[in-house]
Amino acid sequence: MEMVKSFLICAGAAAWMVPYSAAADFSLTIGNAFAALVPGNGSTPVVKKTDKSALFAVRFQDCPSLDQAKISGLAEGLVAGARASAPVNIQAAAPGIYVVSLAPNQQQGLWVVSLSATCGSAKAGALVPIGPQGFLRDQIKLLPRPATKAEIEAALRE
Amino acid sequence: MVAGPSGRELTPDIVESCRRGDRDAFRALYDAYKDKVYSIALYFFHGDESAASDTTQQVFLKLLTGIAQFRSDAEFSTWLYRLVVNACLDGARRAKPRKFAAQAVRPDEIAGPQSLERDFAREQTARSVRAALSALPVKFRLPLLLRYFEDLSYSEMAAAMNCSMGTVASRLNRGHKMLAQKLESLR
Amino acid sequence: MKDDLQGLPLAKAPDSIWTSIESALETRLKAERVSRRPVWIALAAAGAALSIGVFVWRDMRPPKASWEVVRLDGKPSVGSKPMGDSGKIAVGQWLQTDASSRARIDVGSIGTVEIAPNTRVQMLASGPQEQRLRLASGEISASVSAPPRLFFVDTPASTAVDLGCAYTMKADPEGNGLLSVTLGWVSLEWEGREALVPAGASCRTRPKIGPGTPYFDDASQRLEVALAGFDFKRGGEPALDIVLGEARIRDTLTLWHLLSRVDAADRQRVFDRVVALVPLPGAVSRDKALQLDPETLKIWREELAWKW
Repeated sequence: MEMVKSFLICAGAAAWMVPYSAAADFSLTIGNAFAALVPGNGSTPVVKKTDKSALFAVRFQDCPSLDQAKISGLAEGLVAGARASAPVNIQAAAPGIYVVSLAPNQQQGLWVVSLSATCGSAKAGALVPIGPQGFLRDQIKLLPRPATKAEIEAALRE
Repeated sequence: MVAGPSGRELTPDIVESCRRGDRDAFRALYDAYKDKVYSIALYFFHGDESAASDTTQQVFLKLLTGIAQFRSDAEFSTWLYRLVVNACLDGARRAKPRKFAAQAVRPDEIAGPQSLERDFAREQTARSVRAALSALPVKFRLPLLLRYFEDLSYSEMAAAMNCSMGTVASRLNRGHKMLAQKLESLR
Repeated sequence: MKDDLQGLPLAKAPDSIWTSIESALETRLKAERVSRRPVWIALAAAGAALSIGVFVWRDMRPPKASWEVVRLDGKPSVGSKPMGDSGKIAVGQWLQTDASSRARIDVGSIGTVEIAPNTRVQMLASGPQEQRLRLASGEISASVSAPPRLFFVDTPASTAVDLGCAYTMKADPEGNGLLSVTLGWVSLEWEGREALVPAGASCRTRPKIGPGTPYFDDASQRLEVALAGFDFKRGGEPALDIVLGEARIRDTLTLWHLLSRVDAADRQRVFDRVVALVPLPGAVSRDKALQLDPETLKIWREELAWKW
């Protein structure tokens, strides 16, 4: 009987933990903007397909409750040597998939997009440097939480 | 009886259906003959796909508008190929040498980092034949193409080309001789 | 006698011909009241009578569909006539530029197509389900904002199907083509052969072969040369070896397409190279991928696209 009880407790705990475990693995994937619009993936035409200001796409990984998913972002940068922040547009292309674009009239400069995302109680973040030709894949930093100020400043200095 | 790709057989009813404005019937008719009409036009116009497409379109539009005048006792394909012959001859009369200035697009830019060699035996043969065919005068080129692609009889060709069977025979004979000579010189 | 023309293949009529015919038919059949009025005419001469049946189409054709054309440089011509600063091109008409002229076509409300010098294009269709252009030779740059599969460009060796994009398409007088995509995706299609080309990638086309294999523009020169050899010169295993050896992570775009273009013996090698570069996603079955299961390949492509 005790064994059955222990088993049931463990099974219950495991069942409770599964979504937690999945969310604990919650992270972001960053890719080219066209990855959000792969033909046949069910993405909606919410995102303007010829939006030349699209920087990159981001996908929620291991988020079992996409209906609770939230994402926000800010472009942090250096414009004419001075520190600046600017909003970015984040549009949903499909559940858990978003396209990040520059705001209109974004000034020329050195920018890093800082993303903050939540999936239920789990968090994730990313720092995505932007170069003249688009985002710099090799310099992306994926984080288990939103980036700190120090991390943002370090990314701008790189 | 020819069958279209849709599987619908080309029965005499098809022509009648076309006359009544049945679009599916016209599509079946088009599907049954389009490749042969296009091929004849293509090789007639020296491989010019634009001219071939225009000619094919013209033929089938004329076919549709003139189908009311088609007498069902006449062979449909003979009538069709008369339209093809006329369209090709009209095109040949209208054709002016196209003047293109120095090309903005470099062929090797598209062909690839190395120029492509047509090293398939079949392609080489087709090329030689196309070149030899292009060198023939129009009046010999057409009957050869009609014979090759549609295997029309002498009487059918005479009706399509609006000439006597003797003329058809003569043009085929001379056309083949000229073609053979040209092919020999290309080898 | 027929033997002299042996080797002359039966050419396949392009699909665009039917589209043009249908467009022309649309203006007649839609407005028609099928009134078959047999008209009997008795000829009195010599007591003979002839009867002729006449099929009358009521001519209520709406105006032909057309696109606006803007002259950008020089003197482009529409339908063999030089155009002014602006004009229209109707279904079936050709627009031609010489070495010093350029033009821009406004394709309905969905986008624009810039026509480079020495280019010849034909308007084929303009309707709610389809906007279609033919590029006979030269170069165009298209920028389209529309639902996918609304805008098409026919070339001698492929049809470019817009999936929401901007791209440049070139065709030389021999029908060889080059598509380069700058935004979104373009599908190149020809007789069942398809290439999906994303932004930053290009794809060559050849008459009678259709689209080659797409490759990213920053792929190595060696890879690009070998790929052209594989696609169009039966380069076979030596060419494939080079492509596999030169491939980076993002060149899995090329390798993914090659999976269905190599024979079974080489498919394993291509597969192994892809998974060496990008681990196989959990949702993708190895066996099904090697069997070219369409749904599996689609899922795999969606995953790989995040690496491209």
